Amino acid sequence: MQSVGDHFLKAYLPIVERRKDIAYGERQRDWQLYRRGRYVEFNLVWDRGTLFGLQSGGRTESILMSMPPLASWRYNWQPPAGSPEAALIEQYLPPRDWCAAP
Amino acid sequence: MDPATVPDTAAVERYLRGLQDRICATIETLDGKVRFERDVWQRAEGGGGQTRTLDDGAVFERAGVGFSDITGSKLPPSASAHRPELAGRGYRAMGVSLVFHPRNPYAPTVHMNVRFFIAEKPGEAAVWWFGGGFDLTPYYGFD
Repeated sequence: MQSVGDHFLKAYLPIVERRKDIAYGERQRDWQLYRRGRYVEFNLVWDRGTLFGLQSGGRTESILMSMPPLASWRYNWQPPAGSPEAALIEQYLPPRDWCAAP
Repeated sequence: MDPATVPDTAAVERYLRGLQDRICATIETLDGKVRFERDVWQRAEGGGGQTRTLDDGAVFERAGVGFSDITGSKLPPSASAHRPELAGRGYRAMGVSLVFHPRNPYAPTVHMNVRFFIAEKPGEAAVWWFGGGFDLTPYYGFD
């Protein structure tokens, strides 16, 4: 447990440092909000930690602090073929052994 | 560690509270615009926690880091799903959970949780375990 906790910042900070100042526009923001909607779905419907909080009579405010401040939902929407947004779905979301040699 | 020996729960609590402090301090420095607000809470059935949230930062649109230390008389099904023999035991659960939602869509959302559970029953040995992990939710892929 201590190893997981102690390595969190070492793992995440370099990623956010590299990405936080990349220029983006409305299109990237819309996609972020749309994907956040799916994140909310996972968190509320499937996540065991959320379920434990609710089943143990936990404090709703503290459980829902993990929700994004803004998210969006669109019915049956698909990103355009060949777009970076479609690439996320087709190339990055299917299970893959990320540690395997290329 | 000998499974018959219960870990030093005070040491676990110190580590977890310290972890919350360290992570929040580092994130505040990185964000540079806003600081975490603290909310200390108690729970009717037993225990409580401290929730820290940062909103509308320069780097993070929302960041939440929670510490909780709760006790209960019946372990909920979500915690005993893989250990049915523990269903209904009294328990203590401590942990740190966090989720960061960065403003920039090229930076992934991140979630982490580390936890310690101990399930007790009069006349039987206590059963305890540690758990945890972290995951990213990317919006764009990078090779």
